[in-house]
Amino acid sequence: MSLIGVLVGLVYKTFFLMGETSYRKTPTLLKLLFTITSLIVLIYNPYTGSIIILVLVSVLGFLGYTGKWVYASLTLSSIPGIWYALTAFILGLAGLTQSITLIQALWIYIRTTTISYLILFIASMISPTKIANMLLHVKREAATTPILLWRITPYGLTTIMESLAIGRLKKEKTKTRIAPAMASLIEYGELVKEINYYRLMSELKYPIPIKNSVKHTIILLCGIIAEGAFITHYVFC
Amino acid sequence: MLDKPILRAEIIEAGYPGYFQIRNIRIDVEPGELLVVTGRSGSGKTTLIKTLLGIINLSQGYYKGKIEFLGKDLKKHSPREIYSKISYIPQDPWYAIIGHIVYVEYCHALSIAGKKCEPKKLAEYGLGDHIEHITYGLSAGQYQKLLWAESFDRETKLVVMDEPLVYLDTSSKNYFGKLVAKHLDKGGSVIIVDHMPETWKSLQPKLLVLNNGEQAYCGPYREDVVPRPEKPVFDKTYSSKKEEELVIAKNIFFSYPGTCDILKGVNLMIRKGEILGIKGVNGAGKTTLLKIIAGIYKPRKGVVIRNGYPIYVPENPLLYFSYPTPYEELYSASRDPMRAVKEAEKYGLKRVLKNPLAVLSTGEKRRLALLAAYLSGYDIYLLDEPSGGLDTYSLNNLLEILFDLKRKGKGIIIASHDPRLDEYYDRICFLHEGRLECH
Repeated sequence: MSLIGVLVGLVYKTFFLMGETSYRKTPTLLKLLFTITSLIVLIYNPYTGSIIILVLVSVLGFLGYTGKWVYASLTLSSIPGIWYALTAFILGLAGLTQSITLIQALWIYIRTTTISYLILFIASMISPTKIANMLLHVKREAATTPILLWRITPYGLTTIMESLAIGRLKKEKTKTRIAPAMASLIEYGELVKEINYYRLMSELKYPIPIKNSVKHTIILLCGIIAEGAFITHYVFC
Repeated sequence: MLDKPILRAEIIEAGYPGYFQIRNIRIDVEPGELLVVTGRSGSGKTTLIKTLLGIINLSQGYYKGKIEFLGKDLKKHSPREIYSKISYIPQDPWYAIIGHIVYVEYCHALSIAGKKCEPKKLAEYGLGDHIEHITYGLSAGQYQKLLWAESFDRETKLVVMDEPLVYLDTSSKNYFGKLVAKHLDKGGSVIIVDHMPETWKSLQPKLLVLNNGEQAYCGPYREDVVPRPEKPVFDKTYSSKKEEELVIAKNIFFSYPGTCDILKGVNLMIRKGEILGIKGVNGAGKTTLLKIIAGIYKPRKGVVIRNGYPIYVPENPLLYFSYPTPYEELYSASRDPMRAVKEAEKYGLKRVLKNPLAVLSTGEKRRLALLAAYLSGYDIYLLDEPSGGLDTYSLNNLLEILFDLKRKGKGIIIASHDPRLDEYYDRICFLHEGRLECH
């Protein structure tokens, strides 16, 4: 598979593999609390904290999503991690910046990867339905936008993946296949706009029902408690 | 019947400047009336529907004439008013979905129309197991079911459907046929574009036949006005040795992430010169199986042995193309400009050879994708709903291609709900609950 195909697949698996399930069905306040406690853990102890967040997000990922999500998100977040670690190490060797040891480069990799991984996890908890329902009270005409975005983005990604796969069967090079894949995306956008014109020009009247998941609320709560215990240990001990 | 029609249209001219126009069409749709629109592929059916809905101008189209909905100029209705009174199911159903989850899509549609939703009602439409499913993972048939559900539960006065049964399995077709009858009984009106108008004969429809953009007939249903070529006769024999196997799939298991196995130990074999049909209910895994055989998906367990180059032609033909016009696509496939033009003429695509793909009808796109694949000379053809949206003439073109491939010793696997293809298969396999049974 081409590099572009692999990257598209990773983004798809990270953000769009699951529907309105798992941590998306947890209270918004709890998600905010998890974000805050995670940031505190990272700030209080950048080194041990990074390892703890890395492990915690992986455990939460396994329990709430799937192993495929953990693998895809870790791979994706490793890209900036490797980039920062390598550039810092190489620029140091070249004398352009302060030189660093291999261990320091490894820590740069771990910390950058952890922050990216945490961002991906938090982003994957965002519920477009809940945002739509919130916008219904604040800016009614924009309420359709989040769910439309969560529909057309993964649909576009699958379109690209399928188009690239057909290109491989047709023995075409990936770079020559990009243009038709993009053309089908533009065509898709035009047709969605045309066919749903009256719907998109009208406003949502009632909120879309969504129930929280007790199981995932408890799992996320346990994660917050674990982070809380770590913070308490560092503040009071 | 009431005197005041639900929809009255007098179209002088409509279409796409420089490409295709429809002319001189007059339609009245009364409450409780079914209008079936038919005609050859590319005759202007979808252009007519887009004109009637007032959306043709959104794709650089235009129209001259008058369209009245409920006694008022269509343009004078607000978008919400139109959406809550007219439902539209397009030929390519995936374009009509804007929700990311099945029940979110359903509830959003109802909410815009001013109705509260009950997601459990989706079970009545055969989507009970998919209420929380992501919409971008649905099969074409499931898309159609979802659109049927939201269209009828919105209780609109007019339902407009473009080839609404193409991707549905037989039991769903029967169920949805009854829904139309119920809607008409309640005084609602329906406009259906269908290449097989006889499907709706029992509902005593009004028939509109289009020919090259013009109204050829409009009146009570009549068999003799429906364009229908003679049924072709094909030599089903193939001289090559029967034991030459092109594809052997052994014990295939496949599951999408986070779901149960959709294929459970599937075994399949196709020989040279064989046409194999795969049938099954919507969402049974037919497309998935074709993609596994093509090598697009990797099975969780099992192996696929291919003795030749495969090609997969998807149900959305747009994904097949590599070039912006039919001519370039066919030239690239055949590497012979004369042959590209000759074959295009033979398969009724000469008129659109230099047109951008965007202005081609679905039938034309589908024929083009099949013709391009045929000219490229692969060994194993994996065709997903190849006859969807094709009229009987275009179906004959498709059959000519299939039997030519068969004569050349190619292997063809077709996933389709179209009963018109059944008699041409050498073998039919049924995919049911993850298992494949062949006859």
